[in-house]
Amino acid sequence: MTSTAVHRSADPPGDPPRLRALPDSAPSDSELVARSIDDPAQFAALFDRHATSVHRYLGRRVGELADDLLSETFLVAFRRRGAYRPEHLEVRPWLLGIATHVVHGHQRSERRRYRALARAAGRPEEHGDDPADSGDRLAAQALRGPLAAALARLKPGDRDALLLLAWGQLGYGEIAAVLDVPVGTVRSRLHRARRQTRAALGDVSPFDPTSEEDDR
Amino acid sequence: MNDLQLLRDVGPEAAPLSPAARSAARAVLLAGIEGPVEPRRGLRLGRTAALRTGVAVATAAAAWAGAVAVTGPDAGAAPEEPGGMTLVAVDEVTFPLSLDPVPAGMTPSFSGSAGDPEAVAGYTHADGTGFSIYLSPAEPAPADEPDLTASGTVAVAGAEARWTTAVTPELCTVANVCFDDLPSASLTWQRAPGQWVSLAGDGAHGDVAALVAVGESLVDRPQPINLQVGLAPAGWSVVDWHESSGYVGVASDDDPTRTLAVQCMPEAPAGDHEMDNGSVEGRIASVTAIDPVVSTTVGDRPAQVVHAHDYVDAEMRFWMVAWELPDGTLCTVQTPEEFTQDDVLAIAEGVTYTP
Repeated sequence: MTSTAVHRSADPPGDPPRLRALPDSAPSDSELVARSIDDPAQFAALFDRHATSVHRYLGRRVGELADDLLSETFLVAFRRRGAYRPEHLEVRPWLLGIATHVVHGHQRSERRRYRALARAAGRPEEHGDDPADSGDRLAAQALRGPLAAALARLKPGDRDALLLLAWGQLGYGEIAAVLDVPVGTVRSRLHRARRQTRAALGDVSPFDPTSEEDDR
Repeated sequence: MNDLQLLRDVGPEAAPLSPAARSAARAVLLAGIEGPVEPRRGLRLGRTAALRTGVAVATAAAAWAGAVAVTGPDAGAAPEEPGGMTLVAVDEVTFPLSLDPVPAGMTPSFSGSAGDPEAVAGYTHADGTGFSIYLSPAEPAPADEPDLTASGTVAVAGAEARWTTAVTPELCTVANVCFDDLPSASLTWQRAPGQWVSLAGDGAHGDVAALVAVGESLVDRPQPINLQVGLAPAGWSVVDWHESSGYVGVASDDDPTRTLAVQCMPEAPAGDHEMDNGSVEGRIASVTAIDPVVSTTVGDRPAQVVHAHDYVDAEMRFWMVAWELPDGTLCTVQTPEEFTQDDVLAIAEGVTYTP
């Protein structure tokens, strides 16, 4: 067996815990994890709070398979709750990291989905009668295929970093923590993934020359 | 716009989390929560290995065959309770093909949704390896398999099939469970006009000869899925089933947001993938009761039924009945609040689970 941990943060020690306060004195996510050690039923509340966002992240990566992987993600989180360290990571990125690892078991499905989307984007869409947004729609349509194809071609580790940043909206330190790699590795993965994505979009790219460091 | 914003705006989108899928996933989590905490490497991780055979793809696409065989008590009857609703027999859900001979020592499971022309069945050994059968009306695209070791064509029941072999790299999950490198293979051919078959296997079924044998054992004989809902309200239909999660969803034809969920989670065999599937009492205690829990029976088995509300959203109210089958399988039926307790128990009586 190979040990994989998602909680080691590459951030400098001493960063204060970032615990989210909830209204009406409801327990924070971290408090629920802590309480669930002695009272496992408390963990169900984390599902109620985060199922939608975790499912959306999974769904963008693996499509309808997300319905199955959602429960797997939370089951793994439940079993690993004793190792969760709130001083290193908030619960949402922790869950998205686990979801990312769960997706690893289905990389073929993920790539197949992107390729299918790329092919489907090459076919004309059915449109409504409102011409007001037709320009934007056509522009978006032109980008969907190359974008999905680019995602299919990325190395798995590069894709993880890119999608945790873009769809999970995690910071570099959080990505490093959940992927269990140094922040420098995250930077290099993101640099490579974004360069390849831009190159794949070629002439249809609408990019502004925005600094990568300003994108989060 | 930069590339990150582009990914967010026009990148692949996700279908919304449906109430039925949310309910099913939550039920699976609750089953995990209710069991003993350590040691537990579970059901889902074990299933991961099975999914690597291609059952995962299956979940996204499966078939509905609306056979008219009727299950449940008083088949065809329409019991109506005072103040309740009319319950009618539900058409049996089937997978259109069978294997002859039936593979020994393998557990089948089926996933799909009503009206979907595609169909999938997975057959899994106790160690999680096995094969999947994916039916589609059109030729599936060849897999762009980076770990491909060989490819070619071979005859399957007189038809030319394309095959690939590969080695699945070792996979480790965050739960520190790792799967060894496994040989894998796939086989795709047109079995009949409008019917393409893709087989994907690993482990003992990770070679072409094994898959050819599976392919040649396919016969046109619908087989019922394991979990059947015998009775449902008139005007409601089975909409999807995910047997890897032990789940069948039923929804109102007029308002698909009104759903009832049936779930039966078997006890996994002892071993690497052992997992306690919980107890009747634990399942009922995991929801927030509005009224006192009622002890009753379902199919002569001890059961509990409760009127409850969601853990977070107290406005989301429902009925839940839980009972355990003689083999340790734990079943539940969850319905909207407007059902009567008798409706809920009658629906539970109609559930059959025959893996």
